[in-house]
Amino acid sequence: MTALLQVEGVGKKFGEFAAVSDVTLDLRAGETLGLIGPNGAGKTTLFNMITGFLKPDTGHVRFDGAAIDRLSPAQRVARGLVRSFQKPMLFPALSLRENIAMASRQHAGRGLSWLGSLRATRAANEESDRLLAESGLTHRAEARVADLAYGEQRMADLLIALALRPRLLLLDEPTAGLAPEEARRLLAIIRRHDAETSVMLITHEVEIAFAACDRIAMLNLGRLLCLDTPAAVQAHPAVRDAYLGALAA
Amino acid sequence: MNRLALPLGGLLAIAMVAVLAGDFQLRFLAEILIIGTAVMSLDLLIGFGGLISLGHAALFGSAAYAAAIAAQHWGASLPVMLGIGIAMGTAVAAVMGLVILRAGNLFLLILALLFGQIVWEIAFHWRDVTGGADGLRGLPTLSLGPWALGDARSLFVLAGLLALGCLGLARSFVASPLGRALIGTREQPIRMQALGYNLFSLRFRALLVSGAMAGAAGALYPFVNLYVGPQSVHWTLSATMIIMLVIGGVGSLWGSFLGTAAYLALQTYVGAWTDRWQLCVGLLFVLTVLVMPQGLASGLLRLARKARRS
Ligand SMILES: Nc1ncnc2c1ncn2[C@@H]1O[C@H](COP(=O)(O)OP(=O)(O)OP(=O)(O)O)[C@@H](O)[C@H]1O
Ligand SMILES: [Mg+2]
Repeated sequence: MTALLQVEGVGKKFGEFAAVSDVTLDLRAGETLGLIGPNGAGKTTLFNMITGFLKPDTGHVRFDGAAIDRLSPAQRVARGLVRSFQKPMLFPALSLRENIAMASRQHAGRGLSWLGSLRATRAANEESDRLLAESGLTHRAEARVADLAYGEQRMADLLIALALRPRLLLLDEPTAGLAPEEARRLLAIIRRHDAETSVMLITHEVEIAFAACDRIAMLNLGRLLCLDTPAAVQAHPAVRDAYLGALAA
Repeated sequence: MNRLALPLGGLLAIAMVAVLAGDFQLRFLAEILIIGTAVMSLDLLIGFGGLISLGHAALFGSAAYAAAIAAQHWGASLPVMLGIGIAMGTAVAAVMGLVILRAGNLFLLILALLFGQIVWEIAFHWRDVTGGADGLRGLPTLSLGPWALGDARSLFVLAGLLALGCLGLARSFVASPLGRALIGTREQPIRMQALGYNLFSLRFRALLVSGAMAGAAGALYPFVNLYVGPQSVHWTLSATMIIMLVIGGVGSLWGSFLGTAAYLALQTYVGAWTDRWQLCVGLLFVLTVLVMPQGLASGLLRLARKARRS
């Protein structure tokens, strides 16, 4: 299988502190790659470098075979590299439908149109409604996002990212703070888009990583400890020591 | 029904005032509508984009100069004046955008101020063309084909149509994808980047729209005021516009006209009694901020709703 994403020797220091050191990993087209590791391991920092929000000090990132080191975050989105943030990042004053339409309009290349934009707006709204129906949030379409429950906001955050029809979706702890039932529903939506979307998933909940991911990468203190199948990662002694002790016990 | 309420109600109001009001009031109202339009164009930036520009007078004033200068050479045909004003407002906004939109917040505000000061320097020192400190007077009468539009009534109707048209455009702008995206950059600039929006290009377009609108208003200004001078590009006018906007209601669009009316009424009527009229503006400003923090527009709406309920 060909690699969709290649991270080659990427590192980042904040002052003297090495948040990420020499991380090399690849993500194959079609796969769901888990990224686990304790607090401060450098997971979000790695996301920031892959998506262009942070410039790495060392190393390169390739997407779909091409170097993307010099591309802005927006240009990477245009290639199909889409991310979410650790905290839901929504447009609180706009309705849920408008939040999603903000993404689908941009995907349709009509994000900055004005006069004669009626058709673009309607198409974007239809796309948003489709995603809302699929996630069971249709009845909340007109609600201001600020008025949504936390679980609904998390879902909205995912739908906004999905509206961009990503080729690779990087999700930063999408299930954090969710009840098990809500988390399951969210993962089911992600899985439903499997066919066209590969996923890289940061999570603290190892059960989720083991259940939802094809392979798992483990970061600790900015370094990649291992990258393997869930079973192999679970058996890895360093992983057991650093992170899974509680689970193994 | 609601789509027609604004234009029809607006036209009716313009017609009624045009018939009933006297010359002095008509001129005064025309000035309010023109400056109010410029303030509303600033509301697009501040109220929706969160871009607090302290250089908006540069857009308005340079369009006023351009129209006045052109009128001296080629006569004051209305469509030509509007075209020149809009072109000038847009062009100056484009240059301004390249300068100020690289920065955010406080830096943007200061850069806009400095940019405005440069425009002022040009207006003040390029005597041969702009009349320097004296400004330009004795402009030809505004005309549309065979009709002369120099009287107070015609100027008022023109200003009313300009204000109404720009209000309609501004509302459609705010509802459009571009306007929504502008709101998005105000609320979540980082997420907008993560959605693939180019923040610079987005804000730049909004600034062009705002500049075009301020330019259209600026084009009519010299003919209502019968004069254009360096104060019309000075940063103090930019600041005054922000004060008018805050009094009227940031983000309400039509509140800009209320804020402008309140400010200019104090200036005209209290100013006739005492030089301390600015003290009254200050009081009004503080009162609005305390009693109607969203400005006169939403304050009035709230009162109207309360009245309807009781
Ligand atoms: N902009 C920054 N400036 C300075 N230090 C930073 C910055 N961003 C992150 N760090 C530090 O880098 C380390 C890695 O942070 P990062 O957010 O990548 O961890 P993480 O694995 O995502 O942790 P968590 O699970 O808590 O989200 C942390 O010690 C953090 O304090
Ligand atoms: Mg993190």
